[in-house]
Amino acid sequence: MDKDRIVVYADSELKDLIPGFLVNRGRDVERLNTALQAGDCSILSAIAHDLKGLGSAYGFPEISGLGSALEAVAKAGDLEQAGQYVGRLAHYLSRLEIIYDA
Amino acid sequence: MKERFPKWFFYAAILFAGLILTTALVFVAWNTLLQERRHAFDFEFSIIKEDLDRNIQIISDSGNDLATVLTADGAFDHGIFETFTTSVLAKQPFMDGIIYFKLSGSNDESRAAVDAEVFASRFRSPEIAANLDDIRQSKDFHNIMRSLSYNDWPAHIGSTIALQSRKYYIQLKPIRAAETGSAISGLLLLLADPQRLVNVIPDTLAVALYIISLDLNGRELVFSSPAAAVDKGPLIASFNRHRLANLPFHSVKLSVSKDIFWRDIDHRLLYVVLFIGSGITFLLFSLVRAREQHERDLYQRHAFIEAKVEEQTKKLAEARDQARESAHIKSEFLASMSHEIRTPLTAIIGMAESLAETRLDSDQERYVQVFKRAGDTLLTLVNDILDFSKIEAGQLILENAPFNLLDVVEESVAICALKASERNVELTSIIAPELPIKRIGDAARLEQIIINLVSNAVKFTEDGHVVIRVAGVADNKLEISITDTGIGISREAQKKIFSSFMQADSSTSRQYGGTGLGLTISKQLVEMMGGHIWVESEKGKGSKFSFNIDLPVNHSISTLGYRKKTFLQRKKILILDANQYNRDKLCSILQLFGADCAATGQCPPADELAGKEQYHYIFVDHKILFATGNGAQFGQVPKRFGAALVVAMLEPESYLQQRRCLEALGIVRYLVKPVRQFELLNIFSGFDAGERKVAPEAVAGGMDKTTATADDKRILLVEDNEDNRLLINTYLKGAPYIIDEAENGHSALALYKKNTYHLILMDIRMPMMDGHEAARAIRGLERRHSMPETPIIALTAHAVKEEIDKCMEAGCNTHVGKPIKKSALLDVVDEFIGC
Repeated sequence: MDKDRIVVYADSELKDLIPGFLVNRGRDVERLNTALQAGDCSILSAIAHDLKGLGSAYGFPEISGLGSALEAVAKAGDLEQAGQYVGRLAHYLSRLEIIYDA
Repeated sequence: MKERFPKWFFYAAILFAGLILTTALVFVAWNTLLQERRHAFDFEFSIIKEDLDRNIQIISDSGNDLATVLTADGAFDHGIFETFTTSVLAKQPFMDGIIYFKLSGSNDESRAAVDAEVFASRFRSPEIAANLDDIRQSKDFHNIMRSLSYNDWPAHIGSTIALQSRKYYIQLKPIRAAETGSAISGLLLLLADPQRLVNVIPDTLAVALYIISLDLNGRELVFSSPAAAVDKGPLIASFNRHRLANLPFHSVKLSVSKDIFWRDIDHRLLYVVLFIGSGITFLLFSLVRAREQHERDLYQRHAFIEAKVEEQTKKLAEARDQARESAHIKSEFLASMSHEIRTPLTAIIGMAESLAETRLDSDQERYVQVFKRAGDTLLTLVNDILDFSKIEAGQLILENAPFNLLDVVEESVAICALKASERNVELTSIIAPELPIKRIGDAARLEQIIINLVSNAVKFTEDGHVVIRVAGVADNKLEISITDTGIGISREAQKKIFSSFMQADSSTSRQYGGTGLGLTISKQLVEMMGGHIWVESEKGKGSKFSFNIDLPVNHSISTLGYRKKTFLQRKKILILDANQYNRDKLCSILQLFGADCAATGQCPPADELAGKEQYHYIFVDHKILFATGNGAQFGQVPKRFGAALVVAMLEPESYLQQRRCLEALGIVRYLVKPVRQFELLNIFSGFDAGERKVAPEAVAGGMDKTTATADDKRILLVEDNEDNRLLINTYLKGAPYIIDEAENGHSALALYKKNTYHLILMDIRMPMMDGHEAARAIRGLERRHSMPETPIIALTAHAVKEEIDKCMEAGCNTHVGKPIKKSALLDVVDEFIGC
């Protein structure tokens, strides 16, 4: 097993949905980076809010956690911290390996 | 008034007035004094005048007497003459001589002179006697003789005669020989010294005596005596009196004058008057000055007081500002502390929950449960302490917003239900059915109080009941009581329990945990709501905590019920529950809606269940249902008598397992205790075949909804995030719901107007029109068209009290937190439109 990989056991009920979910999350990261460059904190916190609400439901509590933190720092206007969280999210997404339980 | 006249004006006026007064007084005194002197003078004058008159009269009388005597006998008698004259001269000091002239000559008028011959005489002093011839030959005498004969020898005549450079007053009396008409035989001359005529004269008087004899000498001054010259100060007045005495053929004028000098008058009166006058002036002066001084004093005092007041006001303002400042600092501190402490705690708890949902081995799961519980406990403690400090600092402000009392009570009970179930304590809430439940106040704080009291009750009870009763006392007053069958509280402890930091006794804190602040905070909150809290308890026999508060009824919201009051009419319902409170509660609610309700704690035999009574619904508690032997009979009921519907009431702690058992029995409907009123009533919705679901009686214009049949339940899902929509659809896949999707409030409203929905799942954070607005809009439409409320369930990732309050206020029935758990979603959907 590649040490860099992050393994997530997902609910088989959601098997069909998860790929689409991950694609959308990738798109979210792009939108987040755009917002960071523009310095738009309201867009950052809006996207982060949605991440917070979605992550755990799909079986990715880390996404909820990062979303929650990102929302907080975006609301506080801390672009530097926000950038860090966006980076961590991107990193997380790139190293995911999904294993579906039976 | 003072400003219009210069100050000196008053003083001048007073001086002037004083002067006038003094002058007047002096004038009066002066006159008085002079008047006094004048009276004295008049007195002196009259004395002199009377003496003079008397003396002159005496001369005249003497002349008359002598004449009479001399003519009595016809012939002149020298002897009588001597005697008489001697006596007269002796008696009258002013008489200097009496002469008798024998007259010869004719009576003829034309005769110039008459020859007079001295026949007899008598004199006081020899000097005068020596001048007898002078008298006879004097011019005066000749003139007199001529006048006498000219005037035909009147009876009497007076005149003056000069002798030796002195003037004498004489009276002449012609003697007739016999009776009247006879010829004049002689002439009597009486000589008087004028000085002695006026007698004694005080030397203060100046006297002058004049003899006025007409035809003769005219007016002659015969005597004058000036007053003695004295130095008695300046002359101040001069009195003068005259008296003219008219006598036969002559007049005598007496003139007396008196000079009054300064020292003649009694100065004392003047001095007194001057003193008084100046005294009065001075008095007036000082009065004015005193008044002026007084005014100045007042002004000064006034200015001083004003300055003091201003100083005080400034100090007070400073103190007030300081107090405000410190209060502000306190509240800021509390607010920031609250936030600072809660944020990491929430993170801990949230992460613990998230972690609990991941795949964990049994050890990990145990550890996570421990620190999740610890986190919860810590959060409770922190909240208690912060609340307490806030209230103590006076920083807590109660909300004043509309809320549903029933929801608050049932929510509180639901929160404590799991814990209670673990301790085998049954929780029942009973709200008087007719009590208005739409209220205005602070729902969160009320829930806090109820949860505190209920959790306390549960904490100290094992294998028993906790009953929460809500009743109305007066118009807006509620009484809420929580009765438990726990360990009770001793009398001494009852006195202490509401005080800060004290538990019933120290052992309880070790055994039962807690800060001991819960009751204190509850008491503070109850009192802030205008109420009282008290306890009735006996050690070992349970406790009853009661409080009454003012909670105004919200009349503005139409209490348009979800259901008509008679929708359960003619329905026969049986309640089977060992818990008498639950039986009472369910019966009272169902009877309110017109049901015919029966209840018992024992399970009746099977044939009775299906017997002549023909129940439409049977509610059976899990204990009775799963007691050996009973389950089967219940399962048979729907098979044999399809009409009756059995509803199980399951235990909160293990309802999931119990639910699976229900399937075996063929029972589909269930409620989880503690039973919520809404859930109970929802059982009856859309059940009976052919009966329409709570459809509007009238569909007002503009809302052309497609009517739903009993079979398909329509759900409106309003959510902007695609992934969430997919997720929810997946979760609800198993149930026969028709799900319509909308991406924001606007499209949601459009869909709502078109179709009838049984449930709306409403995301809050959406672009364009958010969940709050959409919910409000939907409720508004329902009100306007008198439609019953469609349940709206808010989906929010920000499930804090403020946010939840907002959702409820907007009209949502309840909420589900994101990330959405499948079980949570299913439960809530079940609750509202259970299938």
